[in-house]
Amino acid sequence: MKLKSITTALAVSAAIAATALGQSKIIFKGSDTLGNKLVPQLKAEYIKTNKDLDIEITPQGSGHAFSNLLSGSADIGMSSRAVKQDEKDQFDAAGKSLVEHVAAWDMIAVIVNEENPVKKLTLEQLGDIFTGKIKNWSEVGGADAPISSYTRNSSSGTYKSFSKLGMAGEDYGSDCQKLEGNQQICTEVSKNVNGIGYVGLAYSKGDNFKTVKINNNSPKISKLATYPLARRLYYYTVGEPTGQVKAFLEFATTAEKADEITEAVGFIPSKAGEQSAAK
Amino acid sequence: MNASNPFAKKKSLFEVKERIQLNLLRLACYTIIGCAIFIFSDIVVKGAPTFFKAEAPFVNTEFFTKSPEILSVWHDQDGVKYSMTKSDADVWQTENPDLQVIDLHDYAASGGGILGPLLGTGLLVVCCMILALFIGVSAAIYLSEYCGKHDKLMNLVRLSILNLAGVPSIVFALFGWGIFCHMAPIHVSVSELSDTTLWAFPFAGGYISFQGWDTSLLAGACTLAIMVIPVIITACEESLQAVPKGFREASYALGATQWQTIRKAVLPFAVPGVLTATVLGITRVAGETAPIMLTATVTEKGNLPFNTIVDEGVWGFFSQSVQALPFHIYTLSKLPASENVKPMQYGSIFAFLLLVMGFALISILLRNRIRKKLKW
Amino acid sequence: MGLNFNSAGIVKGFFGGNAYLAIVFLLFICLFLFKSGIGFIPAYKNELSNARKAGLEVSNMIDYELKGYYAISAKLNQAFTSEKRERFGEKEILKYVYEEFEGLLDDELEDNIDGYLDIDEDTTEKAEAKTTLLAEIDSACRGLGEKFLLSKVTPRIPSTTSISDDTIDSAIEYAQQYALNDYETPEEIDQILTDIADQMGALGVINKDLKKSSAGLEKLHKTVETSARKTYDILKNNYKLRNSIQKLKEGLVKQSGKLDNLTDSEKIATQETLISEIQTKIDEAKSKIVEVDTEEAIIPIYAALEGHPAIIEKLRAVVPKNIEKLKDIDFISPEAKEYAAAIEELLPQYLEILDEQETSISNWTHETKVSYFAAIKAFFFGLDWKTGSNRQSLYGLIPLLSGSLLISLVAMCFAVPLAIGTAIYVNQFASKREAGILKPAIEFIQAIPSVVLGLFGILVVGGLLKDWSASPLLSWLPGFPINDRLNVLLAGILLAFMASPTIFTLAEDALNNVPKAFKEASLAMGATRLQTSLKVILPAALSGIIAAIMLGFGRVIGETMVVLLVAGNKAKIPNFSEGIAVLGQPVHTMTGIIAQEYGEASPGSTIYQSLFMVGLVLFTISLIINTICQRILARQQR
Repeated sequence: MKLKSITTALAVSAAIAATALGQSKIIFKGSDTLGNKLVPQLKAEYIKTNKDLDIEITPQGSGHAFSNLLSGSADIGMSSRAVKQDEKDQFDAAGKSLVEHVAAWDMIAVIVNEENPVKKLTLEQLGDIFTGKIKNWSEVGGADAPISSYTRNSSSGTYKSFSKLGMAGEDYGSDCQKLEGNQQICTEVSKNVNGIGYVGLAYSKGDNFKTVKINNNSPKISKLATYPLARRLYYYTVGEPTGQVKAFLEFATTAEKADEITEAVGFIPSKAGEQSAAK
Repeated sequence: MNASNPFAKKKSLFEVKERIQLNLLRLACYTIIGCAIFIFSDIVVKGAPTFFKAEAPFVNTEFFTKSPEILSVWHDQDGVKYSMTKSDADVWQTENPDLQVIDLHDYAASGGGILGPLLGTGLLVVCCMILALFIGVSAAIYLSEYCGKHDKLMNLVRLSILNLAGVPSIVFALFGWGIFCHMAPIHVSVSELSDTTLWAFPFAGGYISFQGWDTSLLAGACTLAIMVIPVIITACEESLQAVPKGFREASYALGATQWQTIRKAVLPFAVPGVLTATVLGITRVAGETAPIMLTATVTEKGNLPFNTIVDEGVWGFFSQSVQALPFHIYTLSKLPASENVKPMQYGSIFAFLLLVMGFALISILLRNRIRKKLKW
Repeated sequence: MGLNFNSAGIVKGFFGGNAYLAIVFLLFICLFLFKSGIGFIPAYKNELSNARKAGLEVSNMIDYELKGYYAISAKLNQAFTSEKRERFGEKEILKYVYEEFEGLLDDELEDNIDGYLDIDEDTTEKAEAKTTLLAEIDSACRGLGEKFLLSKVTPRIPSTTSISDDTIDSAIEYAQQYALNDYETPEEIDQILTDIADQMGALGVINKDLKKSSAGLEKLHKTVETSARKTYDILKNNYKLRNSIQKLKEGLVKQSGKLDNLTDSEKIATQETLISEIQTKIDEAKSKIVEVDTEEAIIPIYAALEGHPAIIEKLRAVVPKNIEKLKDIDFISPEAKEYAAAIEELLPQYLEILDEQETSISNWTHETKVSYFAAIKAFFFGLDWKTGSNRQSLYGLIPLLSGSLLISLVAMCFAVPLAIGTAIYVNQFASKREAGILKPAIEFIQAIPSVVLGLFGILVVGGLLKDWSASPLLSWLPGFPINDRLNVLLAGILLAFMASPTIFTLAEDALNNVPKAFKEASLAMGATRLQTSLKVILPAALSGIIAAIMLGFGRVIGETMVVLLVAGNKAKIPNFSEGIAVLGQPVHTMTGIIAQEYGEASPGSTIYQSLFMVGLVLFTISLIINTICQRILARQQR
C-alpha cells in the first residue's frame, strides 16, 4: 500500500502521451458559467467541420475542472476563476503542469427581482449583503423586507471570484442559499421579490429579473474597465495542448466565428476584453 | 333535516363522532390518491403535447430520435415566433436570409429529444441488472436451498441484506464514487498510468493499476448493482420458498442430486418470481439519480453510446460516460422556468415516469398473477 | 468443509460465495467509508491547531462579538429608515423617481446619449443635439407615467398617494444633467439621504453614536485578523507543501530503485533525468516553505488583545445608554417602534454575548494543544459548515443534521397520520374491491422517481405553496407569507408524499398480522367496527406500526434529489425561536451537501474526507434505524 502515487516520471510521460494520442473525443469538465452556454455553442459550431469528433461536456462547477484534470478524466477544464495556489501545488506535486487559456471576459451581474425598486448598490453594500451584515432591503434604499441572498455552491468558480471581487475576500454569511448553477439563481430571483443573486453576464437577461448597477456601473461591455466585478474565464489543460484539443482551443480562442458566438452568448471575446480592460 | 322520513332515528352524538372519525380515515386515504392524481394529470397534460403531434404519425418522432441540443428561440420582424434546435436554426437562417432574427434566446439541453439519455439509462439498467441478477439469484438459491433457517451465519447474511436495503442511495453513490471511479483495478499501458493510482504492478505488457474507472458506464452499473442486490435477493428467495417442498422431495426420491433438483425441479417454477424481482429491481434502479450523478453521467455528449464500440472496442464502450434520463431531468430542473423550456422539462419527466411506472405496473401485475396462479 | 472438490461442492460454494457477498459489501462499505473518513480527524485537527497557533481562533471570537453588535445596529438602521421615511418621505421620493429615470436613460436612450457625447465640443451641431436630447429625455421620462412611478415608490414609502409635478420636474432636470455629464449621477441626488439624516434629530444622533461605538472593536478585529491570516495562510501552505514533498520523495525512492535494474545506457540516462527532475521539484517545494515563528507572530495579537477589555467596557456602557435613549423618542412610524422594541429585547442577549466572549478571549492562549477529541467535537457539534473559504474552512455537522432532521420531522408530521389512517381504512373498512384498487395504487406511487418529484416541486408545488401562503387567510400565522420559495415545508411535503406508501405498506402488513380472534372478540363484546379498529387492533399492531414509521423516517432522511432541489440549501441552523415560521426557512441537509460539494473534492483532501464523514453519519443512522426495526419486528413475530 506504500506504493501510492506511482512516480512523477510515469505521470509526466502519461500527461504528454495522453494528449498526443489522436483521440476522437474531448472531455470538458468544470465551470457551469462556461459549460452551459458558451462551450455547447462552440461545440455545435466546431463539429460542423469535425464530424467524427465527440465532445462531452459536464458543467458542475469550476472545482470539478481541477479535480478531473488531475485524475486525468478531463481533457479541458473550464474554470470561471484562476487556479488556486493549493490546486496548482497538487499539480506540481504530481509532476503535471497546468496551462491556462483565456476563454472570454465576463462581468458578474448582480440581479434582483423585476419588482424590486432598488436600482443600484455600492460595492460595499453588496459585500455586506452577502456577508450577512445587511439583512433588510430598507438598509440599501429598498422596501422594508428581508433579503434572500442566493449564491452558487462552493465548487463554483463564480462563488470564489465573487467573494474575491465583490466581498473583499470575506466569507459568505450563513444566510446565503447555495443553488446549483446560474440558471437556478435566475429562476429563484425571478420568483422571489426579495431575492438577490449573481450570475455570469451571459445569464443576466431574462424574464422577471434585472441587473443592478454596482458603483454606478452597469454590467455592459463598454464599462469593462470600471465595472468592479469583471473577470476572465479560462480553459485549462494539462501540459501544452496537442492534437484535437489544441485544434479546438485554437478555434475557440482565436477564430472569428468563435468570437461571434462568444458575443452572441453574452460574454466578451478575450481579445476585445483584454483591450478594453487595459483602458 | 330528515324531512323525507320523520320517524328516522335521531343520530346520537356518538354516532356522529364515529362517522366523522371514519370519514377522516377515508379522507387520509383519498388525500394520498388525490395528490398522486394531481401529479400524474399535471405531468400528463403538460407532457403529452411534447409526445404527440396533430398530424401523422401523431407521435413526435424527433423527441425520440434526437439527443438533447441547444434550443434557440426568436421571432422575426413580423412577430412570428420560431423555436428549434441550434443546428436547425443555423440552416433556417441561411435559407431565410431576408427574415430578421430578433430577441434570440438559447436554452441549454432544451431542444432536440431524449434519445441519448434514454439509451444511457437503458444501458445502465441492463448492465446493472445482469450483474445484480447473477449475484442476487445465486445468493437467493443458497439462502433458500442450501442452508437451514436457523444457521447463525445465514442469519447474519440476512441481517446484512436487510441493512443494505436501508442504506441511503447517496451513501452508495459516495461508496461507488470512491471505489469504482477512483480505486478499481484497470489494465493500462505505461503511458496511461495515472499518478493518482493506489497501487500498480506490471502485467501483460502494461500495468494493472488501481486507479479507478472514472465516471463510466461500468462504474455506474456496479454502484447500482450493489444497491439493488438486496431487493433481488429478497424477492428471489421469496419465490424460491414458494415452490412446494414436495417438488424437491419427489426429485430427491428419484435419485437426483441437489444441484439437479434445484435446476430441474425448483428453478423452473421460480422463474416468474425471478422475473418479478427483475422488474422490481429495474423500477428501483431506473429512478435513481444520486448514484449515477457521481459515477456515470455527463450532461452533453455528441455520440450515442453504441458508436464508441466501433472506435474504441469493448473496454472503450464500458468505460465511456453516458447521458442518463434522471440526470438529464436534474439538468433541466436547474433551467429557468420559461415557457420555452417547459415542453422539454415536462416531456422528459413524462417519458421517464412512463418508463418507470410501466415497469412498476408490470411488477405489480406479475406479482398479483403469480400469487393467484401459484397455489399448489 | 474439507477439500471436497466434487461438482456439487463447487456449485454450493459458488452460490454460497455469492450469498456471503452481501456481508462483504456491507462490511466493505462500512470499512471504506470509515477509512476515507477517518483521515478527516487528524486533518481537521491540524487545521484547527493552525488556526489556534496563528490566532485565527481569537479573531473568530471577536468576530462573534461584532456579529452581535451588527444585529443590533441593523435593527436600529431599519428603525431609522422607517422613521425617516415617515417623516421626510416626500423628499426621498425625488431620489427614487430620479433613479427610475436614470435606469430608463441607461436602458432606452443610451444610443441617443452616446450620439450626443460623441459630437465635438463647441459646435452648433452639439447645441442642437443637446436640445433634441433634452427634449427626448423629458418626453421619455414623462412617458413613464405617475402610476408606474408610484408603484416603485410605495413599496418603500407606503403612505405616498401621489407624486407632485415639482418632484417629477426636478427629477427630470437631474436626469438631464446625468446624461450631459457622461453618465455621472448628480451630487445632489446622493446628498438627499445625508441631508435627511442630518435632520433626524435625536434618533439621528443615536444612530450615529452607535455606529461610531463599534469602530474600536472593528479596528481591533482587523489588526488581529490580518496578523492571524498571514500566519495561518503560511502554515496552511506549508502543510500542503510538506505533503507534496512527502509524495515526491516516495516517487524518488521508487524511481531510484529502478535504476539498479536498468542496463541500457539510454534508458539509464532518461531515468536519471527523471530523477533529477523530481529532485528539482522537491527542492522547489522546499524553497517555497516559509518558516514562520508562530511564537513571534502571535506577539502583535496579544498586544492588540490587551486593549480588548477596555473596548468592551466602553461598548457595554455606550450601547445600553443609546438604547435607553431610544425610549424617549416619539416614533411616528409604527414599524420603527416595533424595531425599537426588538432592539431592547436584543440588548440583554448582546450583553451576555459580550460577557461570554470576553472571558473566553481573556482565557485564550495559542499554546493549548488541540486534541483529537476537540477535532471530533468540532465536527459533530460544530455550528458552521463553511467550505471553500478564503480563510478557515469549518466543518460543523449541526447545521446539516438539524436541517435533515427538521425536514424529516415535517415530512413525518404529514406522512404518519395520512399513511396510518390510510392503512386502517384500507385494512378495516374498505370493501374488498375498493382495497383491491387502493392498495396497488398506493404501491404504485412508491415508484415515482425522486428527481421527478423534485422537478415537480420546483415547477408546480413551490409556486403554489408560495401563493397560498400569501393568502390573507393565513396571514395571522407567524412567518407567513413565506419569503423563500424553496424551504423546509416544501421539501417536507414532497418527502411526505414519498414516504407515505412505504409507511402504508408496512403498517398495513402489521395490521394484517393481528390475529383475527382479537377482532371477533371485540365485535362480540358489542364494540363498533371503529372502536375495534382504533382500540383493539391498532394497539395490537403498534410495534409493527412503529417499525413502519421508523423505516419511513429512514427513507426520508436518506433522500437526496428532492432536498437538493427544493430545500434551499442554506447551511445555517434553522431559527427555531421563530416558532412555526421555521417552516418557511431554507435549510441544508447531509445528503444535499454530499451531492453539492463532491465536485470540489479531490481524493485525499480534507473536504473529501469530511464528505465521507457525513456519509458515515448517514450510514450509521440508517443502520441504527434498521436494527431497531428488525428487533421490533422479530419480537412481534414471536
